[in-house]
Amino acid sequence: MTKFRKSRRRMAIFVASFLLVTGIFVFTPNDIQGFLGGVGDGKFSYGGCSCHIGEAQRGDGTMTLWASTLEADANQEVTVIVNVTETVLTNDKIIGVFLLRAMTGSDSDQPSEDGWRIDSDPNGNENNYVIKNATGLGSPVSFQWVLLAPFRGGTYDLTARAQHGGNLNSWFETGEVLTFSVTGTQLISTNLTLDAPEEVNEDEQFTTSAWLTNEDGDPLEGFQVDFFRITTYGNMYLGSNITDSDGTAYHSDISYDIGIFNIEARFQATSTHAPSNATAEIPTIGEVESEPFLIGGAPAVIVFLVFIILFSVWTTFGFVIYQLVRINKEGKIEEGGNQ
Amino acid sequence: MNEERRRFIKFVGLGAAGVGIGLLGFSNLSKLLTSAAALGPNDLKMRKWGMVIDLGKCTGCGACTEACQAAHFIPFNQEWIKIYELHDNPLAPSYHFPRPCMHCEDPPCRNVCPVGATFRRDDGVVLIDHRICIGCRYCMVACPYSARYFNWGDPPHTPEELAHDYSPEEPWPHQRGVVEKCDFCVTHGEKGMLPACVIGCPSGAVYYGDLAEDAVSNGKEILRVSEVMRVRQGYRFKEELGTHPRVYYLPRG
Repeated sequence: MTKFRKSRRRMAIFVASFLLVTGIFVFTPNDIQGFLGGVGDGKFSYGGCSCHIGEAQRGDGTMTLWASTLEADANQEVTVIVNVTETVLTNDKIIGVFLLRAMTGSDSDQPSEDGWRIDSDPNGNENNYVIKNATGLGSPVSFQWVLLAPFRGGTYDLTARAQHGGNLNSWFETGEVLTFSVTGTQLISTNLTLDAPEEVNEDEQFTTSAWLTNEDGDPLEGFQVDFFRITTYGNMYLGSNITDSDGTAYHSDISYDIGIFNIEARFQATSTHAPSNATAEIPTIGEVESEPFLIGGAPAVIVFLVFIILFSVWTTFGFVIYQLVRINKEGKIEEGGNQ
Repeated sequence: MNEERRRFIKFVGLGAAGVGIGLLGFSNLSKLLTSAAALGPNDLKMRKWGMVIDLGKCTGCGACTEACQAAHFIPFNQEWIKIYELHDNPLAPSYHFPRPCMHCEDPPCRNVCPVGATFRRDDGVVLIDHRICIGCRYCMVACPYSARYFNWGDPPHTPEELAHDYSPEEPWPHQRGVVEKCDFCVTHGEKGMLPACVIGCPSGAVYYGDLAEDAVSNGKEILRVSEVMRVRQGYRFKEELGTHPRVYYLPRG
């Protein structure tokens, strides 16, 4: 009887140990499990690009703004120069400058929101954000934009914000604001309609058509329409075409991957016609490549089955060992046994 | 004999009860065993982060490496993007070859990790969870690009680094006994920002973007990947290994 009690005690210790180990294994993963979805993928875009924006401390430097004129006619070229002089530079000596209409920290701060069009930025592109390299401590860095004044008359502000350092650790901004007085002009308003396929297959060629009309709905022939793909880091130029007698300009393209092909057709203003644009989303469908079986994680059912099988095997093994251990040695008298 | 059998049944019964209790937390267990790869948010699925490096523009200045080290507080002996000087043609001058982690579509490092610390997100970024990493360094052996580094000792820390909350996407503060590598500045991409090496490159040789959009940017211009690969005859490093790297190279002029 005593032997049976001892055996039960041993069994209880064994089961308790098993439960303890299982419990530790199962209930502690909160501290050791992997990626739980990251920090979210909300986009933070500022003034068209945000390469240098981050939560950071203020750096040290001065910025001045200069404009070729503060009084302009509609669509007139205006040159704006931003001079940045820094007293502190990070190792990579990079300075990024945003040209902005306001500093609210949102996309609506872009000059284009007021009708400004960037003819050329300091790199010869059409961006309101530009990165340049500083040559050394305290050396001024100059950023020059050529803009076309808005068509609508009124007063408009332009200012700039600078960021330096590739490690997002410091920034500063200017308080200086240039105020422009623009004399408006009466342009023929235009309307652009973009017709795109509702859905395309991966690697399939598709055609979009942009229909340009005037305010009365009459087609406009012989005008250039530009096509862009809207991407994470800005608009990618796809091509241009001239409107035919129906006022339609075509663009053919291929979507190489599944996802959304965001396309924009843009009619740039002329001396007689106001600008217009249109966008469309073209879903691209295809077969999603899946990970090889059991790579990147086993299905829960398989994990469960493996667990049960291993448990059964080891339990049986443990029981056999237990039975072997309790075989009496020669000459030992078993208590309470049949004598 | 009957008693023995009864005991055995009891034993198995209790064991099964233990398993049952254990399975109450089964979801956590399976999460642990299945590592992290399947846990990414749905909206990452359509992203395909990738990089294009124009070898014709790279001057080997090392600014990308420095920018990367500063942004990630990397220990001094590591270069998550390393510049090699190659001279593979005796009739041509040598050239510079920046080598970040390739973020392979079939990463050997992930496949050999015995504890699932290295995982691949749905957007294709290969990351390491240092809370799981046991420092066995199998992944370093498996990586054909030598893009992984091991922290043999406690790296020096800055207060700013120590104030940061660790996550596999922003893997600092750094710690001893784990393997580290380029994380593609994945949190930058999610915010519409460019990686530190791209911003830091003064010649604009490094481009980054969503390959599903067929576009990469160096902050100054946007390239159409399919077109530039065709025109410039782009390639991937050690393509023959079948790892399908997400980093493409444009050969010199």
